[in-house]
Amino acid sequence: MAASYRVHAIVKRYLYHLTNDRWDVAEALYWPFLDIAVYGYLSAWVSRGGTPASTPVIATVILWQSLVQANFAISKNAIVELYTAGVVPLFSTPLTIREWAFACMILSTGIAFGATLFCNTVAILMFSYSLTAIGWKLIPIVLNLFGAGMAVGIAATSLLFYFGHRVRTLAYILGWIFSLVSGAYYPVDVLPGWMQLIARCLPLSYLFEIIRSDEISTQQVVIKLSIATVLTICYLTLAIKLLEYLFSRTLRNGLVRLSY
Amino acid sequence: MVDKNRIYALTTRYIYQLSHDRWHLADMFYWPFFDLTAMGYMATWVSRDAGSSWLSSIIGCMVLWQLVVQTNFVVSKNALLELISANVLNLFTTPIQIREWLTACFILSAIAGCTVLLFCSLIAKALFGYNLLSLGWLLVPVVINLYLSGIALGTFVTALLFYYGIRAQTATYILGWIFGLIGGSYYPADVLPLPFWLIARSIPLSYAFDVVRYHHLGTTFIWHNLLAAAILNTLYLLLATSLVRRLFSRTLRYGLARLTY
Repeated sequence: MAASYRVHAIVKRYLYHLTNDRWDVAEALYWPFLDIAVYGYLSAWVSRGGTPASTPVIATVILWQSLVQANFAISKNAIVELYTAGVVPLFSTPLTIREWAFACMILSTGIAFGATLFCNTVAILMFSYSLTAIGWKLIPIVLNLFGAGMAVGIAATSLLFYFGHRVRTLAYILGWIFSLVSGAYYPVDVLPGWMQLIARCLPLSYLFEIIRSDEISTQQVVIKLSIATVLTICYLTLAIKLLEYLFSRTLRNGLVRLSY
Repeated sequence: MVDKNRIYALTTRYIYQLSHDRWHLADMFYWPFFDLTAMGYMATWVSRDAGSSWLSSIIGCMVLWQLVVQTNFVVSKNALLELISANVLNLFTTPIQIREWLTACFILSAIAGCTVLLFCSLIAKALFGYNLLSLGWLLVPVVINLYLSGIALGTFVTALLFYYGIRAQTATYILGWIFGLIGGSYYPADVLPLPFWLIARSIPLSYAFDVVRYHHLGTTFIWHNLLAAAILNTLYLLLATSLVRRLFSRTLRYGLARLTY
């Protein structure tokens, strides 16, 4: 049974950590800004050659950032604990891994929401584009992306809590691997066949397809959203199960193995 | 006087370090691969109507941008590794001079830069059918210019690291990418708003990338672009090296121990 006060305490702990590290905050804002600016200007330039692609590109890049932030907010906390050798002190208390994961998911939702707002403001200021142009579809799309980001973050965390420091790079690169096959930067149909197959197994491709398609009926939107939601829930459940399983193995082998 | 034995020893040290750190190697190849693939497929999509010359110009610039990123990163990462492992004191209490250390880093960054450039050009050929050699003889001055820009940038970051210590570590990762935004690597500088455009015109990268773009888009080739890039690169490299020497001598005066945690 999850104790709400322990979840609350963990959320507060990471919030303090986040707000007291200026560089962390700067980095969390810098990379999304850079991504939007680079892809925005690139598509603005290419549209001179006759491709009116800039609007969906900016929208998908902003939304991709919301997933990245949701993912990174979780795995970063695991890295912080590993670096500060905080795993043993933390989990020798009655805190369970499920409570820890739940606290991280709350924090991740907040951070991802803040990052999406920030990115949207950047897009309005630089390219006069706002996500609100997507309409009502924006809410389920964003919620799905948050869920998918959390699933990636929890999967990376489970590896961090099993293999320790050695796989810290995974925390940074795992999410980005999915961007290649998610359709965030381009439609999946430009990919080779085998990559398209992978893309179809991910909720992201369905979500980005909704944004990219100009003429899509409400019925098609509902079908794509339903598929994406089912897939997101499946992956999130699998990621939590993986975290619980690998963490229980780490507990059995001794948490100290995670320290340097 | 620069001692080539010490430069050789430093270069060997960093090559050992680089080749034994699997994750560092993964970083070295993963991000260029990722960047090139993401940008390449996007370029394939957006240039469907615009034509293959647009695709070539985007991918050509992307491949060459990886050279700048890598050469910059190798120089500054070495400084950062010395700071993190609290080794600056050990290193510079020997007769090693900062100019020898820099020369070793420049050699290493040339090796790493060429390796990544080769890797990226193979990826570009395999995934998008783009041949970097299609630039012809222009490839040589462009690569040299971009290499000089990369090491100038890395030297500038190193100056900050050797003065401010570990606090400035974020500069290692983020400073180079600012130039990705305003350096004309992804798109020509003239799509940028005026203040950014003015900055872009004062850095050599935008001229070097314009040469690549002009070549692929069949626009008139302007000789003065290469000349401007070469002059600006020489100027910035001289400025960066004199800055690192100045800041490092100040750090020496205050005591190298201040760089330790």
